[in-house]
Amino acid sequence: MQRVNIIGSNVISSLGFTSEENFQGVLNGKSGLRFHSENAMQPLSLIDQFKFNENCSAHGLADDLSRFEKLCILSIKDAISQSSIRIESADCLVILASTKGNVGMLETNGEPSKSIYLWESARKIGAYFNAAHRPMVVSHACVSGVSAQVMAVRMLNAGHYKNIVVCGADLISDFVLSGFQSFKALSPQACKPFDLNRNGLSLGEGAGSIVFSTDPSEALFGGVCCLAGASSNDANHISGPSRTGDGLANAIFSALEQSKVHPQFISAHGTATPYNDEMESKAISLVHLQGVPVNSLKSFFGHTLGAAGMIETICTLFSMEASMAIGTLGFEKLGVSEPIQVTNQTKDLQFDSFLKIASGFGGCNAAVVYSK
Amino acid sequence: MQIINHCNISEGKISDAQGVVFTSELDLKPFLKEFYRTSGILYPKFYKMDEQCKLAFVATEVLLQNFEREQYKDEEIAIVLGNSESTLATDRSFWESTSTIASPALFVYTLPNIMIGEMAIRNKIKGENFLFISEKYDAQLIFQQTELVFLNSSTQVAIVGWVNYENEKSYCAKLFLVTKSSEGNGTFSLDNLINL
Repeated sequence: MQRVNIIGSNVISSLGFTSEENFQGVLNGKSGLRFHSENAMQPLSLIDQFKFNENCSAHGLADDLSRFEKLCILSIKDAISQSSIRIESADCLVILASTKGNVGMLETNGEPSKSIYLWESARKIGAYFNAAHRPMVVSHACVSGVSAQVMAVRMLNAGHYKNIVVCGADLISDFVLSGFQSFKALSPQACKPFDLNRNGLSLGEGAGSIVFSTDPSEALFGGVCCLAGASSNDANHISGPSRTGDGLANAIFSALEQSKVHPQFISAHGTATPYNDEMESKAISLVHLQGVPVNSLKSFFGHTLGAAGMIETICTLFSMEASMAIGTLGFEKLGVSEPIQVTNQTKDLQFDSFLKIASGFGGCNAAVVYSK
Repeated sequence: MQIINHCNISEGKISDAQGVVFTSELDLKPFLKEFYRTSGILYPKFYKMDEQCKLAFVATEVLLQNFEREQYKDEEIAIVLGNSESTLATDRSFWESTSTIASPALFVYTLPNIMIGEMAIRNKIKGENFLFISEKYDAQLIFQQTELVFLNSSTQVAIVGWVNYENEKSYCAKLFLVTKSSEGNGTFSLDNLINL
């Protein structure tokens, strides 16, 4: 079985345009959630549009690309620039993970362009890089980013490719915003994951990319590998998480069994909705990891949907390298029924492995394990 | 790996490994409703689903008709699906609803993996699940990803294939019930995923 190294990464969010910039922001306790107008009903984490446009011009990105496609291209470009990887090569695949891609195109008058289809966005992104293969598209609600990592590690383990670039990205649109509002799922303040007074999620936009490689010669993060992952379904409710946590526990159990690792840190989904966080605490307890430090980064980036799993994995890779545990901004008093160890402030912590988990609409769950 | 059964729904026709199951001249919505009524299925949640989920639901009902479900644990059954439209038809309906009162009942169906959720709830399927978007039915992708699911999990049996709703005239479900065992009605091969 091939070991899966990391040879590049990028995060684009309200906190910056590189992984380092974003990690530094998080380390400094900086949240990207802001009220963007006087009558805004909730804070959002939005990419700086001025800097975004500057970046697009600097890279000469053509106007026939949508904002979503430009975001993916900028993210992938920075991630691949950190190694000698060539996307044109037949042994390289790109995986795009997104929940809604260019859905915002529905908001303008007239028929949307073909880019409304995720496969068309993927084709354009692939064409930009002269990719040998059409990018594969994973669209699996809020587990998309973690699901794509699971697919990548499996294909690399099996020797299907030498390099896989995973890019998870989603934008905030009125479509997405009004959907979550209709669900009454949004918190009027910055979200407070796992806290007693949490009252909903905050939305964000962004992209996260990781370049995986079976060639260890350019490995980053001290040779940390992505070991294994798994997915599962609650078979319980299409829009509410399981009451028992058994679905997520199944995915975690399977990922741990395959990787044979007892994780020393957990990067939770932690959306700060009452039900999600409660369910996660139960799942963590079911797999006997309630003693392991756990955090949620949603109060820094908001919930970036298909990008969340990627951005949070990348930040946890950086925090492991820096021997720091990132505190869960907004968390004060434990508000879930299981006694999980929520990291409340950023502090020194040596850890050599971690578990990344996610859950979403449709009862889906996914888990992936990284270790030195 | 073997294929136990398969089900195709397109152009007003439902068929499985035995042959044609049901035909209709109607558009998809009344067609599926008609099938539901005559089949004796009792599952009121059916009426809440959007057309793509109904399509996935009916195809799964036919696919699993003679399936010995109780032989498998909930976690041993996986679902791997491909789709092209994502949920564009429902996206449009939801966006229209926002001009008055945004409908949460529509919003939940604006994710393509919701059909996996509906299949999972109906059949208590808790195993691996993946959803891929491609322009057309990509048998190679489904074949490769299904193999990886069997290789990397405790999956014993999987529902795999393609479910895509474009409009009332243009839709397609193509599902396969695949077992890890060597007993079935045909080899789980790329050829069979294309031709059956």
